[in-house]
Amino acid sequence: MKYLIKCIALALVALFFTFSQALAADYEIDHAHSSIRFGVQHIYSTVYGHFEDYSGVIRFDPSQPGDSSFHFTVKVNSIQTGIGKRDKHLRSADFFDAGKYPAMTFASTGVRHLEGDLYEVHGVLQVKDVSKEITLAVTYLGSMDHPMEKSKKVAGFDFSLTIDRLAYHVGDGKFHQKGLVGKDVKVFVTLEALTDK
Amino acid sequence: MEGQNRQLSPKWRIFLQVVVVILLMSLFAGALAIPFVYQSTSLWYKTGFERFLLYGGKIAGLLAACLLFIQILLVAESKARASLFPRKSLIQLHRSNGLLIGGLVLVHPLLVLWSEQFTLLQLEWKYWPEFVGIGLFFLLMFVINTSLFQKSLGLAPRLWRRIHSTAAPGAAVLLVIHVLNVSDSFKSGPPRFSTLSAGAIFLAVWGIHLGKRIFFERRT
Repeated sequence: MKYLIKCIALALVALFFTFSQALAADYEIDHAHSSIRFGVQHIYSTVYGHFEDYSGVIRFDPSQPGDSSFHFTVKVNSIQTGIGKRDKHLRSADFFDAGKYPAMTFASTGVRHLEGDLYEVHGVLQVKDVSKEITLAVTYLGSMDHPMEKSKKVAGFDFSLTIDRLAYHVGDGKFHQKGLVGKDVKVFVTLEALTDK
Repeated sequence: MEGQNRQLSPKWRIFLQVVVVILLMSLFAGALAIPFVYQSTSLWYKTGFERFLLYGGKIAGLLAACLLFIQILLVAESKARASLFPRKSLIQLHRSNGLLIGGLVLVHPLLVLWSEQFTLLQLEWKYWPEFVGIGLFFLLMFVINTSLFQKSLGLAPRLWRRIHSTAAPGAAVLLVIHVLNVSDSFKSGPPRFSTLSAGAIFLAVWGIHLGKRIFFERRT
């Protein structure tokens, strides 16, 4: 009898941990329905662009944000601003130096629930040779069974931030001093991510 | 077929020779002034040595373009031109010009790329004007090398002439397309008009020159 109770107890514990792991699923970014865009001031106007090649894995459980994590990699060569010569200049050593630093990465170190659907994600952003701790205010848009892919679940996330590009050595400041290119870059990220059910 | 230096007095001949040379030099000077007078936006972001390199690259390219456009004028048969300049001298000038064009065509992309810290082009459709330039580069290298090494390559004169006279208009067309689209200096106004005109004149003179030669060959 005691042996039977022990077995049942162990089975329940195992089931509990399995169930809790299943909630914190690994979502892979659905590239076709996500975007990483940015805007930076040029004299008076704002020039917008985006990155086409990026990947990421999001482990997220709204009920246990402490078990969640966000990892992104963005390929610098994939920058697009609509003008070929400008994209080439941005990839050059004047800005991103894509040949030497091909990717930017973000790796979260902690996730905290703030209120409602708002979560605070702490992590390290690496651009070129600079790594800095930053905090993202991420809006969790929800998750549901994918309406078209029966075997998948989809989740949505939104966040934006402003980065001082000079702090990450993206430019040496000469264009900012001339009033040509601003130093603060607004980044807008909207993500749909998928996981197997 | 070819006229002698007749009918014109020596004084008139010298005067007209000087006028033609001054006219050509003026056209060259106008072309080389384009990067300074119709500055492209790529120069906004260049300072110091890089700015110097980019200007140098543009000038090398424009000089190559001007020399390429006059190549057909040097060899096309014309009684008026024959009365001013001996044909032999012009053929020699055509050959020297070709070598100079070859050198400038090597210098032009080198200086432009150097000004951009040798940031390589990606294989994307948006860089098509630059890729046209690369195609033009290889075509010109082909024309120049088949001319320089015609005998070593075992090319029969007739075959070499066919290659040369077919590649020439191809080079002119690629040159016009490249120049009009690679730099916003040529988006409108006198630079655009003069490039289109130079290309049109080249093709017209080439067409007449080719037509005359085909007619002459068929008769003999």
